[in-house]
Amino acid sequence: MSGSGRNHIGLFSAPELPAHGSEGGEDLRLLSYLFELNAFRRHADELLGRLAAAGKAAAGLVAGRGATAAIGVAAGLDSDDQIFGTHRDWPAAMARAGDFTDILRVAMRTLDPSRVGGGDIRSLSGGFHMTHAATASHIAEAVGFGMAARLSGSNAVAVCLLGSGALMQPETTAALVQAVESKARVVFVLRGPRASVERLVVIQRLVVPADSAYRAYWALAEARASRPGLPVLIDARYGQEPEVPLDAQLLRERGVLSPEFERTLAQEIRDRLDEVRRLVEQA
Amino acid sequence: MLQVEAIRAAITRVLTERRDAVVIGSDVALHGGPYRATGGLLAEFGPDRVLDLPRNASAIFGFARGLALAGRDVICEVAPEDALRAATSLARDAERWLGQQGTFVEATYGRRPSDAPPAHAPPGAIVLRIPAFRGSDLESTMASIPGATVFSPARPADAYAAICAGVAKPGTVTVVLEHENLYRGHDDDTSFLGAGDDVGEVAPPLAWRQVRPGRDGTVVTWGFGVIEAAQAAEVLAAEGYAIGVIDLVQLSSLSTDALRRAAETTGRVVVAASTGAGFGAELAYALTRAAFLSLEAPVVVVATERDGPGALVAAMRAAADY
Repeated sequence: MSGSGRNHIGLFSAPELPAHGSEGGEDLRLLSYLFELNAFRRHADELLGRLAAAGKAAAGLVAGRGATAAIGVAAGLDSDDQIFGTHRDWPAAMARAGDFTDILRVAMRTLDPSRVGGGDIRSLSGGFHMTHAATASHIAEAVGFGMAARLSGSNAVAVCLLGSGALMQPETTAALVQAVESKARVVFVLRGPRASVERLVVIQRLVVPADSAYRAYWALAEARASRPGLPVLIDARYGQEPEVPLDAQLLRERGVLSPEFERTLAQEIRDRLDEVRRLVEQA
Repeated sequence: MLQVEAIRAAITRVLTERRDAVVIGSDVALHGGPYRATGGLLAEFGPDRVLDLPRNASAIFGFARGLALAGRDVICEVAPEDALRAATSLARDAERWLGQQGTFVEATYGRRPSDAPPAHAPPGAIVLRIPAFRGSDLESTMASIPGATVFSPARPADAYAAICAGVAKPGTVTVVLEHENLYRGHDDDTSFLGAGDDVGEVAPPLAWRQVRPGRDGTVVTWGFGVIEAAQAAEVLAAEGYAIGVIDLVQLSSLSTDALRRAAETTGRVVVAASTGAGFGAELAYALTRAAFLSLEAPVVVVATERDGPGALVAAMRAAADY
């Protein structure tokens, strides 16, 4: 897409997503959708950083580089699936729920601040569980859900986001071992600097570039198709990625992105974030 | 009936009546748990209902939360030494788990199916059993979890009711602290086994009970402390003192009625705790605050695990003579 016209799918309007396991060539609508989500996430991340610096929002919510893969897999989940992460994985909740407003409410503590346990971003019916509890505690929770799915013969899958910090926790080892042992319906998505996990547990591993939500999306589809109901690790750990993310490169090559379009999109996102922020602050 | 038999009877009833209920923990299946509280359950209910998991308390509690999210009622047993190591994360995880119920982000937009039921709480319940706990002051950490219900039963009937009633409340966490010295504690009363037509109708234990009446002082305690306090009161009875004992069955939410009763009836109160600081000190504070005007002597906290039952006798005598 070039010039001032728009053919992208619009902020947070999910396209008709392809069926799992059918790659079907390039899907530019999906790619555009994931690109937009990531662009929004980057701006929202900056907003959270500014608000935290001004003392208006909880600090420590910086999503960072692991968010891209998280968005990719979150966008590819079925309605019965659940995705688990930490509060820093809010982009996955955003991709799942299709909105940022409640996440900003949690960050700005305007969502029933009288309750304890604030900081968790959860919705059982929404299918996401981003917890602010002890490090790595969400990993066993994901495996528990995957065990229940296995026991009851459900097709639901638990997707568990984790990074290098969680890898160092004994709870993670326990959860990985138990996932394999119980054939839990769980897909782990590992982000963070390069480290070794594959030697800890014998588990099928799919390697994807960390800066491509699109590849992460299809890795999830592949995981479901090739190992139905068995644990799989999507390895999206980052190293030295190119300056321009892979998804953006691909969209540029296909003529979907132009500098003018990116500027327009950025302005739209800023307007949307201002609107969300006003809404939250009024509350 | 032994306390461990009452615990096993409660778990058996839950597994029988709740088809989705599961028992998880380290060594709970093949070996029936270190104190045999889950002995025989694997053979009776199978490996899909009774599951051995890696020995890691916070991971086991995490598995429990995931299972509860999927609608399973979960009775999980964690090893005491591991619970001690993981106490902080257990408490923090439980706090977030319970607190989230008010802050669940219920998105009403996006890709959710329109017929998805609103879900403000996980559909399953969790009973977290910490067996063989003694002298480690886990009650301080556990009782400080907002929203959790914490029992330290001294009688088989209370252990039974705590487990049954805990399973009956979706979205909740019930912590049962089981003192190792009580597993072989005997009680002739077995009437509680038939309580309620369904496990969901079993009433939770009373928050507190008067074990013996007093005139010269009262000991407030829980768990194995109840046995120690009753023995100490017997010793003092031979000297002419009438010391009452109150069993604080439920540590959280704390019953100020029990504390007020202790202060109002005798004016002199000794708290028999396993350790000197922590929950015992918290109880002394709560007691002073709830019934300050009824007290005729300072509230004393005795650490029975540390100082032995002799210290309890001495403290009770001193309080009575104050």
